[in-house]
Amino acid sequence: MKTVNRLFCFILAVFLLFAAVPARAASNSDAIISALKSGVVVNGHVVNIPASYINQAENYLAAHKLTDEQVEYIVGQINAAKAAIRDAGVTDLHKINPTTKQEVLSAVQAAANEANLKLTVGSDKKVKIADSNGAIAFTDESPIKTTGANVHFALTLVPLSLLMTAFCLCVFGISKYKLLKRHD
Amino acid sequence: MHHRSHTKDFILIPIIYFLLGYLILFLLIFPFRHTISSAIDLLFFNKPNSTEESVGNIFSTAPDISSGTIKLSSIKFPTYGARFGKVEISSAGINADLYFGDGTDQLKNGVGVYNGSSIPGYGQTTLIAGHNHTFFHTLGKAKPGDKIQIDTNYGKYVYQIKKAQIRNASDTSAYNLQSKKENLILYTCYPFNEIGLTAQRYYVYADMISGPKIDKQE
Amino acid sequence: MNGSTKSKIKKIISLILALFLSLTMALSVLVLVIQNTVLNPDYLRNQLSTSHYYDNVITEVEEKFSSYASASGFDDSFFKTVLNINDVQLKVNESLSVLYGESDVSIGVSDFQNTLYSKLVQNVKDRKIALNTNTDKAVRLLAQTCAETYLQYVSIPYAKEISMYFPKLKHILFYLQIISLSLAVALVLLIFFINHWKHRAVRAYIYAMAGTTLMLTVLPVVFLISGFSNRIALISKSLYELAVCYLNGIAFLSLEVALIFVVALVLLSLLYRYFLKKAKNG
Repeated sequence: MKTVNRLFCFILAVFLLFAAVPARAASNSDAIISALKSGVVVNGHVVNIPASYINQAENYLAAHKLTDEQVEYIVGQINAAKAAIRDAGVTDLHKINPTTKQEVLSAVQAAANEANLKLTVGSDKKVKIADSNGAIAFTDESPIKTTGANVHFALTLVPLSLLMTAFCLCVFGISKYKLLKRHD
Repeated sequence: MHHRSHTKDFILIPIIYFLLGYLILFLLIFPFRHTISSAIDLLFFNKPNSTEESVGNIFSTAPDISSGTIKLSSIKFPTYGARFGKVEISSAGINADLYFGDGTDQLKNGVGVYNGSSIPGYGQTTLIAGHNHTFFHTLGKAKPGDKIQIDTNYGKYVYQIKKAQIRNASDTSAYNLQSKKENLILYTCYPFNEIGLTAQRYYVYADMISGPKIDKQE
Repeated sequence: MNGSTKSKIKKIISLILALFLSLTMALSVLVLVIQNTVLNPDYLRNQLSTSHYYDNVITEVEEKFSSYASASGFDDSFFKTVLNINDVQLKVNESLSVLYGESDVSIGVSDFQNTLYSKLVQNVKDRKIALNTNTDKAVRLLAQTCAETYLQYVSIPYAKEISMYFPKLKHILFYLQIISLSLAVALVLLIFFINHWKHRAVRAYIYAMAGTTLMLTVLPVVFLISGFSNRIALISKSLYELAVCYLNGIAFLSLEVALIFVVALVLLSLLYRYFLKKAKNG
């Protein structure tokens, strides 16, 4: 179960956005990145996203452009996930209750689909995030390689789950212009 | 007793049963259709999967741009695994292909930019890894003051080494990925000639002295 | 109610009962297929073999080890001598046993690590490199890292977590199978007894069985022809080939059962003709 929780946290970390991005966010990546860089306060706790995640977001956003509508729709989904977590007063996703987890995952799933994100498993049997063509889009590996050291999810990373979605969804949502249709 | 032919019934009725069966199945899963379809979307690619590693190459020669500003939108930004440049340190005899991403394949064929850092010119930290027994074997010969040339598919960059340090691989203070100043960090396993894996890394820190800045504004 | 009306009502009831029989049989077959595939460790073992999983895992591990070679001063070719397909098979099967609750013993790779360490030390000595304390430490770390990587690559992902759900699923399917089979038998008997003319009962059975055959055939055929399984989002070659084989295997099993139903249909058709002839003569 611990591994499943870690996996859940990683996926949420990648998929969820928690910044205070207004519904009509700027379509350029700066607005999203600024939102990611600013922390979020949940029950008095300020949570920041690690720089490596933000940089990965920035890199992917640089390679893929988004429309205003895509950003707006995805942010809408993210705000729903954020609201669920804030309402539950969650600061540690390892301790999230099943109802909130379900609400968050539903929003995440919807946003991920808009973003054309895929969950995949590498040869190392670790879950990774890929784009629709199989190219690795997001990794959670340590910055420093070849030590055999494993990445450990620090508790402070867990609530960042919300943050990641917005930009990731924005980023990965470029090629799919399903948003408006999905509003039906 | 009148026995009419049931030939058509033997075809029609099973087809009706089959359609009704699938209809019932559809109705049963209808409340969960979004969840199921989005789960399928998450777990399947848009086209047949190819598990053969294909390392993209977007670099042939660097354009002669070594100053000024270039718009982000005009750059072909590398995706994970793409070869997008080369690194040269004359004083250390290093000349290696530069990849975006530092996975097994990338480090086998050259040196790689950690995808959680930035590409040269982005105004942030560029963290480049290379194996000590291959491309960065002579990294120790690069001294403060020496130049590092990085040619990319969008411009040419020159950095000057300011210092080198030996730190533990787990020491996260050895690099700052949040830096808002353009800086370059190269690293490899240390000692260079050690047989086996080591817990230490040799870091070379350098500042940019020339190269086009990337303008992120659209 | 005259005889004609009664006859018509019986026909309609037979048709409806035949529909339920068709659905019940389809459900029963679905449960059977799941029991013989997803819940059957031997099925997975077969697929592991068919998809050349062990060979693919060895290739993946060797690729990873070659990156360690570049970082550790050992030759690529050295690491090609450390893996043994029998050991890989053993470890994967141990993981499979954990998945199916046959065992809850964690897979151990200490033997692998110790053997590798000895080989590494021997290689160092053969190359006439001094094995001082630091070098020994580095070689031990390399052996440990390789062993951890090996364990990662030979383990079935989330085997322990998934294994928790299998007993529950087994129970549910067991009761579902009993219910569906009982219902099927009850429906068969009901159809038999409400029809005075037995050829009508057999005709209803044919309708039901043909309907079930179509249900079992169409979806798997569409799945196989569309190549949907080839799009599964697994970038690990070993897992991808296994998953494709696995899913296609389930589709083929459904088709095999459908084939059995076709044979049963042929027999029922002969029975129908017999009863029809009897009814005409009677």
